[in-house]
Amino acid sequence: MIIPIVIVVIEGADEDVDGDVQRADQVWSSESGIFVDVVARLTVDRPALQILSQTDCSGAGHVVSADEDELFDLGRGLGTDLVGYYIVGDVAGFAGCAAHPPGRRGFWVGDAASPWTFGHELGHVVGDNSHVSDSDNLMSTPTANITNPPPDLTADQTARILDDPALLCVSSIVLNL
Amino acid sequence: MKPNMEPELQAAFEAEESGALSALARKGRAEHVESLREIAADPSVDAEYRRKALWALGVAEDHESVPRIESALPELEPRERMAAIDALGRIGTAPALAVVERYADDPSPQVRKFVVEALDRIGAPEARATLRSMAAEDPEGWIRSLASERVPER
Repeated sequence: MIIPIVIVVIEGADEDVDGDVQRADQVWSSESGIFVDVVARLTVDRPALQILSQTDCSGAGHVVSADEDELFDLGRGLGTDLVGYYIVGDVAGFAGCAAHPPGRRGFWVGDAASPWTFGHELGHVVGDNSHVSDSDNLMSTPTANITNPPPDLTADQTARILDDPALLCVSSIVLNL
Repeated sequence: MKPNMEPELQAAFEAEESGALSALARKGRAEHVESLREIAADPSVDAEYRRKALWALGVAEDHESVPRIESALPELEPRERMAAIDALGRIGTAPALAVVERYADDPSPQVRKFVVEALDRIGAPEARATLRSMAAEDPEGWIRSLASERVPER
């Protein structure tokens, strides 16, 4: 199974896309048999989006700021509805956030991110997994305090991920060529 | 220096995302808000904590913190000034606006971006006038564009 994703880097962000994808694969493939497939990667010169004004990072009732509205428009229409954004950060300085405008699935990762932030935020969007208290788990917070890396996913978390419509079977891709 | 905080507030500061801190700020428990004010105003506290505290005071719309934010601003680094200006924009009172306007010519374009957003959020006639000035005169093209977008058509 693969999870296709578009990556958008806002110029000026301190990114390690290849490393983040590799680490996400390390957790997701061993626990769920899922690999992350970057179908497109863009770097965008938009200084206004380097540091995001954001009111909250809530799933339900998220208030979409003007900055978020503009950011989450980037990278759309490139073959998948899932977009990961690399920015400098939000104005408060948190590591990432998976709250997104309705109909525009995605998350952002900032310069304060840990090696596991990308996989963690992806886990909020794909599978709608919430935070857990087990510090060995990818969905614990903060990921900078994860113990015994690489972190784990539970069977329940994996089941939620496998239920997500964004996933593609490799065999179905081959048949569609 | 890492500030001393009540455990729930500390966990919110150290979380991956801002959700927990914004929720606590909105609840506005007196002891939490006072902690945020102290952290925001204390120059010995690590910048990452001050930044989060400043932002959270804005989410809490804490009018009483305006004088402390105003006093702290001159010695803050750009990232912290952004959080302070963002907070003042969310607080939105006349005293907050007066402070925001003084930073319309901040040397950091990113700080000026947050001045534009704060002025837009406040929306008073004086704020609109400052936005028009920034739209016409800011030395950075992208700031002029951003301010232009936020100025309502007459």
